[in-house]
Amino acid sequence: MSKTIAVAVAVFMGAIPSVAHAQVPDLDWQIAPGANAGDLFVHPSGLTGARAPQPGHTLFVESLLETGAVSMAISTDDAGIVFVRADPVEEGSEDLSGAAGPCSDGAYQRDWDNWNYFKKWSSDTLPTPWYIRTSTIPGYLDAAATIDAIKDSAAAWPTEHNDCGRGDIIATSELSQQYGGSTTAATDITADGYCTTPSRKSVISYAPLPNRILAVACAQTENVRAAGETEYNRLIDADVRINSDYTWKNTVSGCSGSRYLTRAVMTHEFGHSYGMWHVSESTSGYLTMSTKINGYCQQPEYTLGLGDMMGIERIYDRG
Amino acid sequence: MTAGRNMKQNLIFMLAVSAAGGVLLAGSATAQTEDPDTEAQTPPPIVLVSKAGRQRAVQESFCVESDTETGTRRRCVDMVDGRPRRLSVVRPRGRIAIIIDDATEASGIVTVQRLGRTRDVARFRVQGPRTPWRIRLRPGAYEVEVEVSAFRTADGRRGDTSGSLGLLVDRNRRISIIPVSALRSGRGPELTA
Repeated sequence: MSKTIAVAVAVFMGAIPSVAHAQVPDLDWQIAPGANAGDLFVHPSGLTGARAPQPGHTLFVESLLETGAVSMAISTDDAGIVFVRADPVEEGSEDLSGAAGPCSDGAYQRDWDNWNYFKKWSSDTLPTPWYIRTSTIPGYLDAAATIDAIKDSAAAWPTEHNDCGRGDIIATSELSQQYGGSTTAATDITADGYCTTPSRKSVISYAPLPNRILAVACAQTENVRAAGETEYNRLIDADVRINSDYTWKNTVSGCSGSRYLTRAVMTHEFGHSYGMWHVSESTSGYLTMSTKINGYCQQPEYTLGLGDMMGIERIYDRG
Repeated sequence: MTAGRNMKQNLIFMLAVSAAGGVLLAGSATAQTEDPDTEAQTPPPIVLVSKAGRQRAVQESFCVESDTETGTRRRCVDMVDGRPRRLSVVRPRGRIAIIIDDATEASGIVTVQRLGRTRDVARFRVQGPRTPWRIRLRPGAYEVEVEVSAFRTADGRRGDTSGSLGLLVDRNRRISIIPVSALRSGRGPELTA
């Protein structure tokens, strides 16, 4: 039998209109004849149970198991009639359980255009400096530590920083950007999160953005066609605006509460700056470039997964 | 990237169905004087079409790239987790369609979870701008997570996009699109999340 991890119970206020009785069975609710508020009901699995709530209340109880969940609901209407709904045990499903591990999932999103046209930093402009508008670093963060965290985020890509035991096969000369220091220049990103004309200076700053946006990355290119060469798009400017309305922590050490990790989010953002797109959260949720960060104080995005590395290698002509 | 998976897992159950989507704030003053071409930087909307009407998804993370006079511009917006704010009421075994408005090409994946839960109960592929699907779900409230890994529009935008939609499978309730908050209004038997 599965081990129970947690049980949660909640009672909702609010009466069930008596006229709804006839409709209840259609929603898999059953009247419990003779039952009263306070009577104990046990789920058929034996894995959870609860007492019928007071009239006018609905109660939900769910036990989270190692392999899934079991839940039931009990509702007592204003007239004292008790309704019960026992949901089947929901077992975890391997084939629908989502993401593969970070070291085995080779997913990356290729550009719509062909690879020769891929947007990337060009060796003729490297090393390309990027800057931090340090005056925007929130006062509750240590500025020097924030700069270090962002530098580590940037370095994750050219060094292919990973926990998979995989070596770095991108030559530094192929993808070398360096921290250019502090700047007073603004990003080319508006407070609404839109990109403006490129300034040709890559800037990272903390500044307000609309609700629910954690960060915006704008990468802008110019067409290049040298004699005898295939036309390609050369990145000329990659800015990131981090939403200062959220609460941040530089690294996972000491992180608690509703804080997002600068290093985790910025590793993802630098991925965009280097030319990476998103991959699916539901199928590749452990990769840095998946659409969702893993939550507050979560650090998996610090390190690249297999797909992240294969993608960056493909862009920069390795692998 | 959206804050989600582990946080979701930490939510052992969902009581009040979260309407946490929030509303994008109206544009505030910016330091830039230039008025950006916002349309070219906006992904095509994700829409759930059913007999109840059209429900536009709560936008989640996306990247959209478009051409400029001298090159290209790619805007990637990474968002915290979006929850559906509305639910399309549908019948069991009814039909819906996921539409990527304005798209000429689209591919990706749709996953369906009980509202407030993390385990997928259904999954199907986005195969083009319009993906029909017959509902094979037990009555209850669901979140429909759409992840478009690649799209292209007629006006030249391309990229990826994602969004969250809500579905209420119900045999009796009037076909309509209702706010998620309606599930918290004491209609006990319909609170299946």
